[in-house]
Amino acid sequence: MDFGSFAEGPLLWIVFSVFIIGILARVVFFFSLILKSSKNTHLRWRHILATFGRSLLPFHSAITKRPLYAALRYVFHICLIVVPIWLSGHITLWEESRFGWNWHALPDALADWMTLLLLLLAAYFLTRRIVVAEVRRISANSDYFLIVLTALPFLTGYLLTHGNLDAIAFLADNMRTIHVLSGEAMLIAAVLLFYRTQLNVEKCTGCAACELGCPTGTLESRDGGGLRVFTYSHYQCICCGACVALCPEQAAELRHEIGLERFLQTVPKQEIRSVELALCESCGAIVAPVPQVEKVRQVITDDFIRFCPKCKKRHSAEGFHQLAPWAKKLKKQISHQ
Amino acid sequence: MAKMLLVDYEKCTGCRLCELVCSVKHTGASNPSRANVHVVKWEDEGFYLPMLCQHCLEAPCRSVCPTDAIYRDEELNRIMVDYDLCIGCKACVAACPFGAMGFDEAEKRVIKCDVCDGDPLCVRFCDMKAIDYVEATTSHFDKMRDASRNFAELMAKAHGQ
Amino acid sequence: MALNRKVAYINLSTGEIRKEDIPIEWRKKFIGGRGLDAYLLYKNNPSGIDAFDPENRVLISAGIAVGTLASASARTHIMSKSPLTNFLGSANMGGWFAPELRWAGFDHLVIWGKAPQPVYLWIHNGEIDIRDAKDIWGENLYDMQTLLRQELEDNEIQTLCIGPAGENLVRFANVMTGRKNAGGRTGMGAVLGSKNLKAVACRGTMDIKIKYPEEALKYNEELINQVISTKVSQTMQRWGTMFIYGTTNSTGLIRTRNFQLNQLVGGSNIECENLDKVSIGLDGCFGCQVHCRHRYIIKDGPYAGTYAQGPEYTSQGAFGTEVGCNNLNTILVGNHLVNSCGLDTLETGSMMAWAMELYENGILTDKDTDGLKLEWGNDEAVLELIKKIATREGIGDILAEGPLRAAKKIGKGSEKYLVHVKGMSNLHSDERPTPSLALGIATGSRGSDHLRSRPAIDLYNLPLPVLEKVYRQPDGYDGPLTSGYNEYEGKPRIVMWQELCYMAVDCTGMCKYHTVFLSPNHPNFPEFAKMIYYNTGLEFTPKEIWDIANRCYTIERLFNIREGLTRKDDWLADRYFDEPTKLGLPVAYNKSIDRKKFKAMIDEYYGLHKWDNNGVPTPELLKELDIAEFYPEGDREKGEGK
Repeated sequence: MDFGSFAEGPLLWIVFSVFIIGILARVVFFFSLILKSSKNTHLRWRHILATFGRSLLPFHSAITKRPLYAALRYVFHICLIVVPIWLSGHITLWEESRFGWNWHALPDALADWMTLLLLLLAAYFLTRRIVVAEVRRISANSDYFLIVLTALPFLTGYLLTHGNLDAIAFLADNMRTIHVLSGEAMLIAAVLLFYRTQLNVEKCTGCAACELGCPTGTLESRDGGGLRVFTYSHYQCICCGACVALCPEQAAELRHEIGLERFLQTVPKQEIRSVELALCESCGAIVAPVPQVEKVRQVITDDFIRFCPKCKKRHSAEGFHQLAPWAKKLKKQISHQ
Repeated sequence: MAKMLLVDYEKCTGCRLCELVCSVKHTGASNPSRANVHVVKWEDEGFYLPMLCQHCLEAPCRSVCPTDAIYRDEELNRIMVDYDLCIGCKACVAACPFGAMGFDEAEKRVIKCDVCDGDPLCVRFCDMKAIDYVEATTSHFDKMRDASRNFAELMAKAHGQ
Repeated sequence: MALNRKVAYINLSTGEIRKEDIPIEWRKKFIGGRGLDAYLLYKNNPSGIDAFDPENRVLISAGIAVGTLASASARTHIMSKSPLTNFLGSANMGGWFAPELRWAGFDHLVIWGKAPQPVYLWIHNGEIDIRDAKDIWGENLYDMQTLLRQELEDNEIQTLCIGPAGENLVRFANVMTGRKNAGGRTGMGAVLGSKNLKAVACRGTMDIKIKYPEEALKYNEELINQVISTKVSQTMQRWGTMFIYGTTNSTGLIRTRNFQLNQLVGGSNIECENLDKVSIGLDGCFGCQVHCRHRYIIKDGPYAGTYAQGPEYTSQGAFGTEVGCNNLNTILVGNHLVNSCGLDTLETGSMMAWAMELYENGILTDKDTDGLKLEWGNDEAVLELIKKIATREGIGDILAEGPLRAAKKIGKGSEKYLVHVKGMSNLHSDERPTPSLALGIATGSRGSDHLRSRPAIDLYNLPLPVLEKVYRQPDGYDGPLTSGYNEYEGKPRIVMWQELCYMAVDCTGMCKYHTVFLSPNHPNFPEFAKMIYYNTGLEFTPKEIWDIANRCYTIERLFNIREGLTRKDDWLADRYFDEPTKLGLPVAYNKSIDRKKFKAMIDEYYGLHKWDNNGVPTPELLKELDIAEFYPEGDREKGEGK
């Protein structure tokens, strides 16, 4: 058997099996962890279904922050899902296989336009990620890799169909195999692809509003030892974007991550941010995270921020106590025996 | 004319009934740590002072709120939290100089005095009227100013004087 | 939920602590507070033990309505076997300890054993720790509470504590909280001292859910108005309890010079109006709008500059009329000293007055008193003697043993000068003109006592319709009632009614001043039922509360009987019968108690209670009250706190 037949035969079987088993495993992890969480149990299914519904329609709550970018991403994903499933070339293969499945195909011209659109958007995303400093700073290698990996099957598919690079002998002979391999790579990557909440270290003040708004309770914070530690598990996350919408600093983002270690991280939850806590100078109770205190200090210049509410009450009352004429008169009369 | 809550510290007997009725009205449970008024005591001297939200005109809590959830209700002369907009970031808790903004761990949201929508229970139940609900005239501010100068600076700032 | 508080069983010898839910059946049978304490004490205490025995249980509790919307719902109850009387030891105090105990998750504490070294209990949000008390042992009551707050780093901790007197096992040492709230009678402080338990500190932030918040708030307003709209409450709001003196002294209803006279002639210096010179305002317990005590600063003498609270009517007697002193400062200082040492002001005053009468009659000499001149009106001697009693020094050591034991030690016929019932001294009220009050002190379950059964409104000579409105319900009594307080007829009923009313109030944890104590228009059984319903959801009719109070009171009686109480203990000192009063208005002058009529009153009282001729509850009564298993001869397991 030559390599091409191998890629389109046994390898395809293996890849599809891995894909199906992997996705099933993720579904199982998801449900087991979601059902274990105790937050909002009576609203849980409503949240999950609502999120799923929203993802099918362009009314995601994260859209309000960056509407143009979100719209482009939405179009990209539509092309990404629709073309491979409804491409006439792929449907023919299914029909010819042992399954004999057939379904209505996209008109070829439309499929071509959608492919080109996707490639254009991919180029835009990639360029943006290289050129725009702010985005580049928070991008990992896997972010660039993911764009290329996603674009490759479409690029090779287009070239295969229209033969644009057939002049090069190697490509003319092997484009099909390259295309199949790139598609298989994308399928494997899909099993290891996650959409996770990240808290931008430079913007996040540690206020934990995101925790309060998280419908499944996957995003949690724990105070101890002078630190607030945020934990999160993607298997409990329904990607609703509540944290993104709520964050007053635009520090919470949902971002793609790809990796085998993420697939295996079921329990315990992962620590995604830890921020230092400012403690009350009177009693040591937690006041607020240090970055939040600094942010409040930009607006409020009083000293009271150094204390917790209980001590602030006491100190304000102490103001009266020290200086009120009546209390002063009292203090003069009292001596401790 | 709008009314305001006024504390007369000479009258307080330290019975803390104000804390009890406030917590019952707002949470349905007797629990002073969830009340919006707190009596600070100096038991060695017999000095008791109820501490409340001052419903400041230039409220620090309002200035730091990132979602504009804190607003001023001019009709009742009070600072209120719109819970539809509040995200629970607790910047207001840190910003209030009187410690009047609290965070209720049971309900997981910020809590503060809302003057009981115009019929403050702490006033109704305090027989001594150590907390009273009076017309917001300058004479009351002067009275508070006479009480203490440091505190008066704070009060002046709070009530836009 | 107001009903989900727990009971903790704490063995100080082993350090073992067990926390259990309070079964709803207990609530339905005994409500809580003093009533449930009586049941737990009777069930768990081995009979006939010494009060200082480690097996003697001491119970500390908060009533069922404490911390809820009932007026002045602040009372703590403490119960044990008394080292003073060897019968029921029971005391009640206000302040803020009981609400804090409830917010920390507990309604009842059952403590026994003896800690190997001084300890205190630290109760916080469901947790109980036993901690070393070496830093606070020996400290006076004001300082030790401050020290505990510093040690536990919380300014709002409430503490129930004993003073140096309790540590020294003075048999009438009290337990206290705050600046002056005391559980004074029967020497509960000594019991804690014998267990090496210096204090119970607590702090809580747990919810007490109110069953019907809206209705409870509305009803609370009505209840408070019912209390503070009466003239007597308004007077108390202004002057504190010392206002009572004005009437009682001018009438001749006050003991002076121990028992020799019934009026302090020229005693105007200690009238309550003089308090304005030293008072800086009024103070009250949790949730109370009557705030019946002053905050004052002592102006003169070596204690000038001391801040204290009070003084109560009791101190007016203890350091005023009983010892023949007509000096407000003595009362102010005396009140401060007993509060800081942890002594029962009433017992201290009575013991001192008795000692002075002995001194007057030569039974005590300068040699016995180390040169201290125990003469009537000697202010310095009074204050000095307080300290001697607290530290058990010299004559103080003898007096610290309480009336009967001290009389035994001194001998020489000193016993016939005692004014006591069951070994506990009396308030400085003179009951010779008032048979109903005399019956009350003779039969009170903890000894001679003005708070367990005093029908104080009898002193107002109220018209019959008013009395009928109060005293014929909730059980439909149709026997005689009389207006005049010199009468004997109809009085056993009002004594019994008041007993059960105060028992009910003590079960709820509300203050007695908010019930039919000083005013007939104050809340009683119907109001208790409503208050309990709105706050906890438990439904009782007024008659059911009456029955529960009767049940609990009967258990107290059974406890006393088990410890050896007989009919002859329900009697007064001979002086009540043999020495007529010498002063006062005609209604109080030349009065003494008639032996035959008093015996008839006791018979009638036992009959109303359905006790037999010896004052023992009959088996029929126990069956009716559903406590048949408690019949004195019946079996009872030696409990380990079960």
